[in-house]
Amino acid sequence: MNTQKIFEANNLSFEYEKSHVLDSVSFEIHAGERIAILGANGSGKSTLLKLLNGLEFPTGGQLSFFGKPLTASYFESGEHEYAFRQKVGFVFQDPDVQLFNQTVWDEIIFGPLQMNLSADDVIKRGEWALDVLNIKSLRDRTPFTLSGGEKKRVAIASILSMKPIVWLMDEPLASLDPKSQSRLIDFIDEAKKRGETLIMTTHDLSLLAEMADRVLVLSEDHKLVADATVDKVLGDTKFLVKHNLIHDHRHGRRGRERRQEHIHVGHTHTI
Amino acid sequence: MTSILDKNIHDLVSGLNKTMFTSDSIGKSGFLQRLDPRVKMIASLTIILMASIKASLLYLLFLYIICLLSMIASYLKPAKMFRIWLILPFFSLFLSVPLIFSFVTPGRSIVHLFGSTSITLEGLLLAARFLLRIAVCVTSVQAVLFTSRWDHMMKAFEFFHIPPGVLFVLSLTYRYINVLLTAALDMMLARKSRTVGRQSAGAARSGVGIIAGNLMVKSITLSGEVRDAMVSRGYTGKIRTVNNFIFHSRDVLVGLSLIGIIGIGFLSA
Repeated sequence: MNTQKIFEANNLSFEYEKSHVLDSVSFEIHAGERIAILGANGSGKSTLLKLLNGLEFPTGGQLSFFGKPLTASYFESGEHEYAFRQKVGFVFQDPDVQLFNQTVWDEIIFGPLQMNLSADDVIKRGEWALDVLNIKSLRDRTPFTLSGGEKKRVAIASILSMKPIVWLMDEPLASLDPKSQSRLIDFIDEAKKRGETLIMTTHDLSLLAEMADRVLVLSEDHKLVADATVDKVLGDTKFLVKHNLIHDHRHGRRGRERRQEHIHVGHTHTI
Repeated sequence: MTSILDKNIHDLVSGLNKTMFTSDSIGKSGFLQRLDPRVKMIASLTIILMASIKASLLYLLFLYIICLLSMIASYLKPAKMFRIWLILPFFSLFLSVPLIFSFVTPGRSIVHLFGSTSITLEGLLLAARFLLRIAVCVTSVQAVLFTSRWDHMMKAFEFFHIPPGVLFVLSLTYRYINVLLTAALDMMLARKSRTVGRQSAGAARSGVGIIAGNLMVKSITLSGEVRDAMVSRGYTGKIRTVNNFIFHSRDVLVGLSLIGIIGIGFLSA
């Protein structure tokens, strides 16, 4: 690949209380890619995003950002931390974690304010983010009064205003209604057009092809078991079943309605 | 809700949620909203200090009227003020009741009750002073809270050299009380949805205890996640806002008025 290498992981491991959360994971991520990290619950997807965001540090192996190792000492230099935070934005799975300010506007300008920009620039970025996410009407609302979809859009706007070149999104489609999901996918497309890199975790395969070009799959024993295109991963049903990404059957797809009795582990039902 | 305990907690939690996190008054262009937050804080502290050291009922009433007029001039909704006023000094009212009886405050009897027990004038005056002091202090703090953005308040605290770590904890506590209150309500409803029949008082208390324990665990997890969310957006412990505070003539006027309030306090009996 000719594009610039943003992240490189070599035998990356992370342990928490002597248990593996990630076990010898290696991959490269290049500028402009849309990557989905797939895996069953507890496979280490969210931890991987936190490592990529410098919120946790590897307990084994190496992780580098533009060739520089992401370690605690890297972030001790204020200059490095400032540059890194400006470039890499993280949208958390639960927007309530991310929305800690009193109003939507305060939330959106929180990131730019930390970057020591002038007041004019902060306001311009805030207005731009409100405009792109189409949430001007929410400007003076308190985050806790917003719906789930609105909170998600505000959370994204609060990162967009920092103009990151890399987006880390933890389960961006979780708990969104179809309209909000569609808006988010449009946003992901626009970010790709702007040349931004997107790294998202998900275990929802239905919209995977629209969200990502490349897929990293983490197994339930925390290893990287696939680094491939979306089509290749989705086309291998046995692989998906083995890694707990689908049932051993599907409940009707692409508009075809199927009625049959079938068995899940432990119970029976009719669809 | 299945018990009085549940119902009271439910009402208290939802009431607190409504009153603490409604920021509609902050955006208005009223008297207090236009003041420098540092001046507002100094004014509030001065009023609390004067209410604490002066005993004159007339002076306390004067302070209370000043607080109320400032709130009215700041377009604060009377209903909201009243709601807070009811919640906070409610307990004070209970505390002040014994003060009016002769066995706590001996003095001139006004209403004879039974035996040697009566309501005394001194007791009534003492209870009135106690309640007025609470009312002045609560109203004065409310006036600042409901007319200031939290980031401005935090920045103003910085001006008073409060350590950044303390400010960080304060600001997070304020915001996440709401998330935890909502979680508490959800847990209570979830419990209610699985409860059949009338619960004993003991079972209700045990349920509340379980919810409190769960909330504590939740708050510890949440605090770590929120810290991550702040750090990932470049937060390093410094409070930053787009507004740099500038003293206006109205701030100077309020400062002069404060000197007047202190003077009247010391001149009054």
